[in-house]
Amino acid sequence: MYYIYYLLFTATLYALSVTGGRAGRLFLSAGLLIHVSFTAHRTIILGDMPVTERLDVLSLMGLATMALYLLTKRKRSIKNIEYYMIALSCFFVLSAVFYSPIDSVSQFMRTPWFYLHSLLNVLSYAMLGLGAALGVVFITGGDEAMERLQYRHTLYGWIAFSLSLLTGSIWFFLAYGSYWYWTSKELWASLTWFYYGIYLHARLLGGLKGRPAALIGALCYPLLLFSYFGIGTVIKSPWTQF
Amino acid sequence: MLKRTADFLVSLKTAIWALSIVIFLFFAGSLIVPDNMEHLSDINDVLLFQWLFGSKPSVSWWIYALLAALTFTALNIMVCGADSLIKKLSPRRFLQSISPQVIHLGVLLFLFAHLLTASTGLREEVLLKEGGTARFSNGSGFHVEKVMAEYTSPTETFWAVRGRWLNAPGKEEPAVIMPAKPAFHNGLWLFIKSADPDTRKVSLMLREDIGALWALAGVAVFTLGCVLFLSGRPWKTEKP
Repeated sequence: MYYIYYLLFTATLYALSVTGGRAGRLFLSAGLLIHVSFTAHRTIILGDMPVTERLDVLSLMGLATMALYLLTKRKRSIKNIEYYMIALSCFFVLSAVFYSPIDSVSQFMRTPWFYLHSLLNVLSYAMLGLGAALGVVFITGGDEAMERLQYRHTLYGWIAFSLSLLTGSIWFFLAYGSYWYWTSKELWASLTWFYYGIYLHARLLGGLKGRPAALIGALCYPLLLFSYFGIGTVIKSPWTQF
Repeated sequence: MLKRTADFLVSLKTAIWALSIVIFLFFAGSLIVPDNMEHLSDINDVLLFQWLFGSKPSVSWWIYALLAALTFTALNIMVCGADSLIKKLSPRRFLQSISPQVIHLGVLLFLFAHLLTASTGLREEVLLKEGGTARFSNGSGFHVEKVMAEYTSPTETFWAVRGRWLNAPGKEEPAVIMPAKPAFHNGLWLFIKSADPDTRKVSLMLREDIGALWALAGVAVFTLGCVLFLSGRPWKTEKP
């Protein structure tokens, strides 16, 4: 049950950091310290990178989202972005609470290709989350620079997502003899990839800009979240572990 | 007529419509697959085209439609790519004009790989004991010398198989197979599916898949295209 306390405490501190000012910075630093130490704890228990099952992956997604928010904050001031990014980070961390830790790693996953696939996946969720958040900031009254930033971060995130799918295919072939399986997980991941592809093409070539672009770009993210959370729960799939 | 067809094929609207249809078919499939597992249980065990010809239309219609939509999308990518290179390729904007087409080439290679995997290849499974020998339908063989299977913890196992490929006499090749570390020989892959620590039996799977190498080529080209595209910093040429 230790993980529940770690994760709840982390999410609470992240949420309190929204207050801003010196207190906000202290809460954020404390939250990060606890989150990083939880990750280190899981690494020691597993004797491996904590990237193989839901609790750890969701926790990492929360950590990556927070790290990306802090990096973005250092480069430029974006009004209200902290609400969306901290909320997203808390969402990932609190979601992890609903999964029990599995304190072992299957031999099938002890391979660099799986680690790369999982890490790129975590990075892509954080990047695409930032892209969606920037879109929402623009729609709710931000300036046009936010929409351009949304496009840029969505592009980065889509490339990371693409590479995550491709390294995942390589791993799957080496582990199970096939780089594609006809299950809802693969189908929904592909569907999400193509949807982002439409947004990027329309944005770059089709003159899609402003509010319509921001809205279409932001709507990609719920699809992505559904491919992780909805497949295996709402839509049945054999791949429920990660 | 020819000009109208060409204009239709190079149109971004056509591309977006094609991708939208592909998305819809993936969505339909994600709903159909889990509700029809009794008809789809072996779809991943045989060649796709082989499975399709014996399948129930109410369960497989979306795969036929997806094949058609992806074929059209591939054609659209090729025509648009060629048109773009003809019109936009210039020494000044070389990276910006070539990099999207390298990405598209990677996607095309991946689609081609799927086509090969769906139509050709070999897949056989065998259960062997330590000291056992398997002969596969393509004439190749594998002899299992030792099966290593043990519980490293209550929830973790360690599996490994040591053996040798049986080719012509005197040309046998040793191999060690572990989960996610298959043996490869003469275009054939041998995977370990499971091993029993108590009976020392191991389940192996032989695969021949030419598409896999084309898929790998697609991965490499796509990755290169992405690196080139980002190097060109496409957001910098945008007008505010």
